[in-house]
Amino acid sequence: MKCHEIKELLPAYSNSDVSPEKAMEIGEHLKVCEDCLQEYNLIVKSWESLDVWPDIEPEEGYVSRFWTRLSAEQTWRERVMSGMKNLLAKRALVPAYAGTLVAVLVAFLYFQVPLSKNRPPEMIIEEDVDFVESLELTEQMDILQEMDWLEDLDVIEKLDAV
Amino acid sequence: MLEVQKGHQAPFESLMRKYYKRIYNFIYRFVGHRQLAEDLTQDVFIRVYKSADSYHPKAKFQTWIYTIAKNLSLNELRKKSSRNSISLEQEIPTSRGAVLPQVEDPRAKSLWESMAQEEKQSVVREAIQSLPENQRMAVILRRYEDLSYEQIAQTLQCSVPAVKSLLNRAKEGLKGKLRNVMGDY
Repeated sequence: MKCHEIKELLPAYSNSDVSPEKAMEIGEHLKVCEDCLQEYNLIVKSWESLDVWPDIEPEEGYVSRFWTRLSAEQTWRERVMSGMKNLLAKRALVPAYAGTLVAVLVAFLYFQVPLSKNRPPEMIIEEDVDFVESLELTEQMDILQEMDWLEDLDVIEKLDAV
Repeated sequence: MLEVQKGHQAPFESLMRKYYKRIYNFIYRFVGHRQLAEDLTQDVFIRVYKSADSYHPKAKFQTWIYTIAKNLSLNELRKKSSRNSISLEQEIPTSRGAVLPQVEDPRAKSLWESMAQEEKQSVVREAIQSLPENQRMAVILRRYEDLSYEQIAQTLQCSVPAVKSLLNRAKEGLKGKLRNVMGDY
């Protein structure tokens, strides 16, 4: 390879990112070519020189600033949901949640029991009589509605008259 | 992160303490402005907090958070450059409060050396800032954040060969700009 080809490959060579054959060829070339060697050293040293820019420390209190900012940015619905989520996430409160759930369930079942059980017997009888009467009336109405044959009787009567 | 999904605040805070400085420095080196980096780092963690529910552990959390940081930084830079109001800081952050104690301490470097060090930092910072966005991002992730090629590829949403190509071009660019800084290396 010629010098310009070698120089193009030097950044990849510095990353050990060339094939073993090319790496060997470049290595051999650098032993004899001062210009390419200087170029290679520049690449390596410039990369190493990036170390002079050290990390900086964030300003203190960034965690509390985060929560303040989050709270300011959240809508009321997000806040409620977040609060619920936090509340539900507390394992210590699990027995309390379970107790409340059981209480609600018991109350629900209690009020689901028919109210008639708490009434005096005479009221129940009256109620039942009303119910049976209305049922009988309904049945009679149904029978009358289904009496299509009555129309046939009318026709026969008229024929007799004629 | 899975603990954060359950709504725990404490795990989120420990996550924050673990990654805040790294994300802050990553953004600072990319945008070149301390206050902007602070705001964007807060934005990154707000984004992480709000999307904790939708986080699926397909990618490493680290890659995910760097991707968010990259996207927010790029958006901000593009917004700023469209308004033509970007200004890079001229300050050298590490010099704050560090020069005087060093002068008083006989074992420390001389004032002259400190100034030379600051000058070097400034040149390095400007050299990195002058790189195109993608190259700059790749250099910061590789050199300062110590990410693998695969992690950088995931963060930048490109292939590993593309990352290597970006780094090779960045090295070529940095070589010319850092010629003067390399006396001591």
